[in-house]
Amino acid sequence: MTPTPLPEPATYRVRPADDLRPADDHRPGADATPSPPRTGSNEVVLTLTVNGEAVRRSYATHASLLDWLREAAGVTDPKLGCGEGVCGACAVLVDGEPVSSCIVLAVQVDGATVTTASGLAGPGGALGLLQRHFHELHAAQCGFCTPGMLVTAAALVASGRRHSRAEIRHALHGNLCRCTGYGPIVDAIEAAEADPLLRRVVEGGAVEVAAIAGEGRLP
Amino acid sequence: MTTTASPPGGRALPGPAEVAAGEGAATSDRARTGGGPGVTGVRSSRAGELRVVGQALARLDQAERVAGTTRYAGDFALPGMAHARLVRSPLPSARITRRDASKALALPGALCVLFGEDVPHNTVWVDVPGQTVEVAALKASMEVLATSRVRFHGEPVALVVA
Repeated sequence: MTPTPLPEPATYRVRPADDLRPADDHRPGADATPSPPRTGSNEVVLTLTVNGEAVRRSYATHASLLDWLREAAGVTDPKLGCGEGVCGACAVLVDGEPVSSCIVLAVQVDGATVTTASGLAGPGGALGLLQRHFHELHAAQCGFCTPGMLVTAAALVASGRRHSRAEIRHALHGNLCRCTGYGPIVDAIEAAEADPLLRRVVEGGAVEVAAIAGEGRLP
Repeated sequence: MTTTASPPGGRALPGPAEVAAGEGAATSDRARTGGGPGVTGVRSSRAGELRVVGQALARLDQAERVAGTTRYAGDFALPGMAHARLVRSPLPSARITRRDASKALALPGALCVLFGEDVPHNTVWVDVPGQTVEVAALKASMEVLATSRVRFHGEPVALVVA
């Protein structure tokens, strides 16, 4: 039996990013942003702030944020693991919130600020505060889950308060690691939260992801 | 005996002197001479002299792992690199009556489409799991790329290179 051939669509309609934003999205520029410019093909031009740098690329309309970051922007530290939002290897921060970038469409987050694990480095590529604690406590083995672990940890640490080991483990429940057994990762996050450098930022009332990156950015 | 694990930051393991201090003079003599039957624990008395055994060694690859800069196979492209993708059976059990790669080959960038006939040793014999010694090993033949028959959903039928 021959299946009925589907009609060939002439062009793919791009849903404007504004339509995809939740109604209560009050991010600056959320309501003023025009639809992403069409390029005539099934590509769309998006501009995201990736690790502090504005990146403007024309790329496949259907691309996930992960593909956009890896293929269009060339930022390869978020990894493709399961591709269905389970393993956390693709985790990045979108406006400070950890998301699984493999199940977020790039067009949904046009204009957003994205932080990946390499964005947690200090000035000049030196290890940032969290990265240093991960390094010192051997919280990485093969390193494939590490970028996702780091950004999830960054969001937790940026909340500015100390967490119990149980809370840290709960926060990491969306990040799978098949090497370390999680112990050293929890240790590293605990140590980062107890780090006097971080405490200084917390007491200064300026805890944000950028501030926890490296010593150089601290007040 | 001192058996503390290496603390964070990679501090060196306790040397012979520290071990001896925790054990008393009698065992420390034996420990110093390389250990005899009476010596317990895992640490070499020569830890201080050995370069690798008994030392807390730095993980050379850790810094780049936590910096997110380790390059995995999927993280880079080489000049002229092609990509391959398997075409798999959508049916769990079926005969292959016809294969046609002309549409795929007509697409821009398509390099080739390989079928079973293109694979030098297309038939492989594999162990069927669960056989006992008494019955002896049971072998099943499988094709690298199925040519006339597919036996499971997802069985590879063709390899597209582009």
